Order: sequence, then C-alpha cells, then structure tokens
Amino acid sequence: MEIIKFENVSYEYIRTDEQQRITQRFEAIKQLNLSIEKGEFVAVLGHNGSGKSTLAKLINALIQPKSGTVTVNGFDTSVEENIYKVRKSAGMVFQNPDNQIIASVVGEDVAFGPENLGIKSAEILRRVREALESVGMLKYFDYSPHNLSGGQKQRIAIAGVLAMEPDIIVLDEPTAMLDPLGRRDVLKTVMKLNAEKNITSVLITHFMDEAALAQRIIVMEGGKIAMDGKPAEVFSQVEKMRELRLDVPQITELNYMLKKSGVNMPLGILTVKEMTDELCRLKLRA
Amino acid sequence: MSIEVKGLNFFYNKGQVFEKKALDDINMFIADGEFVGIIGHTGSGKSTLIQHFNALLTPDSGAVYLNGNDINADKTKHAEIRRKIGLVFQYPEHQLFEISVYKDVAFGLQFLNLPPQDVDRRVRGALKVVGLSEDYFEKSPFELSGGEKRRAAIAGVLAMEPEILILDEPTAGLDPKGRDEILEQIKILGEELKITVVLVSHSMEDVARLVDKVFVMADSKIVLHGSVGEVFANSELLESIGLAAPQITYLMKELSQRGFSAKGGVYTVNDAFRAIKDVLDE
Repeated sequence: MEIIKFENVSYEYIRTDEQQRITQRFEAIKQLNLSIEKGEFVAVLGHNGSGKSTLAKLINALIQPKSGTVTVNGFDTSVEENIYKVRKSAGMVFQNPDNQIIASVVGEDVAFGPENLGIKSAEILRRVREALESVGMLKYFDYSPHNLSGGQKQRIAIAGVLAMEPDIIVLDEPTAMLDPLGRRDVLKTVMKLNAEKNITSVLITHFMDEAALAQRIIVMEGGKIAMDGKPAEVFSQVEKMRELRLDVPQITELNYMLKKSGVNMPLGILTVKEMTDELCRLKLRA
Repeated sequence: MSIEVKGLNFFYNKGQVFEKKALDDINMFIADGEFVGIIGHTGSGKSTLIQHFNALLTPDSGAVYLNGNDINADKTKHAEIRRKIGLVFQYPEHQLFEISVYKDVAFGLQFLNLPPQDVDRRVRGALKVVGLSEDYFEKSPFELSGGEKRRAAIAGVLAMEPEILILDEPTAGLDPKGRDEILEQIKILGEELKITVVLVSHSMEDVARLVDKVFVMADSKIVLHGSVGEVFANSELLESIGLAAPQITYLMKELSQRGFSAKGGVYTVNDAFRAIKDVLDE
C-alpha cells in the first residue's frame, strides 16, 4: 500500500516587495511524481538547493503544493481539515537537535507532543516510556537534555516524534552535526524502528554511507527525481552521481576505480565485507 | 603564525554549583603554515578550545601563545589578534545580516580603512574561493540555499585575509561536491598564502585526506596527536571515544585479516587503490 503519494506536484517560493508585488519566483519542485510504500526505508539525496527539504515539508503539510496532489496516509495535504491528521501521521526530525528540544527534563520533552493531543496522563506516560525505550534512552528519563551528547539529543527528538505514534518519520539531515558514534546510533535507531515497528522512514542526508543502508534511494535534481533505485543500482553510476554534485561511499568509489583500471569485478559494491570477499576471490584466481 | 598552548585549563561556571571543567591541561603546538585537524566526540571541548585561540575565552590557568607571544598578556591587543585570526563558527550562516551577499562579505573590511579598490578585490577574491559567482553578489543572503549561505559566511571571514584560519565544522550540511570544493579551496589557500589552518571536523575521511597533523580530544583532554597515519592506526582507541577511522581503514584491516596482505598505513581511497592494485598485479 502506498503511504506517501505525489502526483504532478509543483511548488514555488515567491518573493514579494513591500507592496506585496511578486518580484521573484523559484520553482523548487517541478511536476514531481513519487510513491512510497508503507514500511519502506527511503534515503533522499541531492545537492543543496535540489528540493529535498521542500519535498520533506510537503510530506508534513508544512507547505501545500501549488499544483498537483500530495496524499499522506490517504489524506490530501491541501485540504485544511486534513492537516492535523497528516502531521500526526508523519513526524519530522530536523538537523540541529538544540533547536528541537524545549523542556528541561527528557521525559517532559518527549511528552510535549502527546500532551497536546489531549490524551490521559497514564497513556502519555506509557507512550513516553515506550518511545524512550525504542531509542535506547529510557534511563535518561529524568535527565536534563542539555547535558546529553548530540547523538543522544537527536534520539530524544526522535522519541518525541515516536510518542505521537506516527506511521512515517521524515528525517531532514538528522546526523549533520553529530560525531561518528552519534551518527551510528541515530542510524541504528531509524533502522530498528523501520524493521520492528514498520515505520515508513524518509531520510534526507548528505552522507552516502548512510544512504547505502536504505532499501531505496531517490536522487533529486532541480526539483525533479533524477534517479530512483536500490543503493547498489544508484551508487554503481559513479559518474552520474558526480555530475549531480554527489558522491558514493568510499568502498564504492574504490570499486569504481579498480573496475576502471581493468580489474574484473562487478560494480555496485557497498560494504567492507562484499569488497573483501570480492578481492580475496580475485587474488585466489590470480 | 604558530599557535602554542601550554597547561591550559578552563571551567564553565567557575565557582558555581554548575562548575564544569571544559578543558583539562591542554598542551599543543601548531607550526606556522601547518594544516591541522581537531577531532573529538560532541562535547569533548573542541569548540571551547578554538575560542581560546582568538581570545574569545581566556584560560583559567595556562596560556596561549601566537608566534611566541602570550595573547592574554595585554588585553588591549585582543582586537588586533582577532583581526589576524579568522574563526568560522558552526552555522556561520546565522551571522549573515546584510542586504546583499557582496555587502555581507565586505562588512568586516570597512573597519580596516582600506582603499575601495582593495575592498572590492578582497570581496571578489573571497567569493571566488567559496565558489559564489557574480550572479550572487546582489542577492539577499536570505534567499540562498543552506549551502550557499554557508559559503557566503565563510567568504566574510576569508575577506579579512587572516593569518590563521580556524573552521568549526565548516561543511556540516553541505552536499558532497560543495564540501569537497570548499575544503580543497581552503587547502590551496593555506598552501598559497602560507596561512595556518585549523579544521574541526566530525568527518574522519576529510581529516585523513587533508591535514598534516591531527589532535584527538575526549572528555576535555587531548588524548592523542600525531600524523594522520599515527592517529588512525589507533582505530580501537578512536572507537572507544565515540570516533572512528575512515571507512577505507576498516577495509584494509579486514583484508589483512583475510590474508590479502596489502601494504599498511592506508587511510584514503587513492592510497587503497594503489595498495590493492599492487597486490593484484603481482
């Protein structure tokens, strides 16, 4: 079942002067068609200004399309009465954890969302505990978020979204400010939620090794989808990725260089293990 | 310009109940013209340390020397020191405020009493380094994309032509090409103008590729320092403090465990390519 659907969606940013006259238009999303199945883990790549964040905002109904329809969990996001339901279905996590944490105690911060849904205290507490448990942060329930590391704060932000019990999580560069361990923890958390709770995950990132962990990669360019496929398919097109101002994981880059220099190996190798297996096989044959 | 730090200790909220030691007996030497990397987990003290280099923070004990002079000996010289040391903060785009990109980059220069043609030359030069063409000069900084804003903000610091350039996570949130372009330009700039560059980064891959020397921080201390090879050879130690070695290092390690004995000391894709080719061509 498709949980997110874009049909011929366009969106433009409009600049006006003091008299509200339009001085400039910028079309950030152009006639875009996309469907994401329930339970999919999709990474979205694209250079700065390619339309990734606009795409994320359209999913969350933070903005509505100029033309075309965005349907999330069956709700058309341009219908005023649906906006609340859309936002409950699709939670968002942003880049800087410090801008997303509001309370002075971890548990209260995670409770903020459900408290505003008007549900009973016992139910809120259950949700908060469950959400913190899922991101591996339950023992920090009583802590002040300000003393946590970046990765931990980001997991608290994810827990805050989880406590709303969404069907979809959209993460807009959640690891950009994190150290390697923090990045790994956040990615593990996203993968676990996707696998165990079947939460549809849309991960916007500039880290190619993170995208390699997704089931599907969408590459944006000029407000359109330039590439769409499995990580091995997308990353095996090294030259095309570079043209789009992107990159490939280090292992895949090495794979490409070796292949180009005449080494007989397939393209699209993503992991250390695949690469080791392939090289050891080649050496045995030599 | 060289930077030397001796026995530096620094506390946040000193003397209060929330007192926290942020820097613990830091000793380091960065030679004139060197390109060094500082890596460490979030909260390890990296940003606190670099704010001591241009006297935004003053040590509770110990000292910072630039070219051998204690920068806190005479506080009236701080303004002069800050002119020589360009510091690019995290999220520098939050500091943009002028009505055009050109004016924003030129802002700091108006206090230097330069002839107008020099201002123009410096602004154009700085914008070229960060890859913003003339099309951007008259745009409002607020209509740029995240990556473009970042470039404009970095250009503002470069235009001051600092003798030491300190960058705190300059590429977080930039696309891979943008990241490579800015870092390459900074590397070239450092070499051409012989300026000292300090790069604070969470990207082990970038650090391995670019710097001459690495300082590793954990829990307010410097726990390891040396050449790229010397530091990344300690992948277990790095992992224990929340860091990692570049991905390629793990491949080389796995290969040697499986009896594919390529030469050691490989931390970049290019070196790995050559090392593996050597084995396969044998």
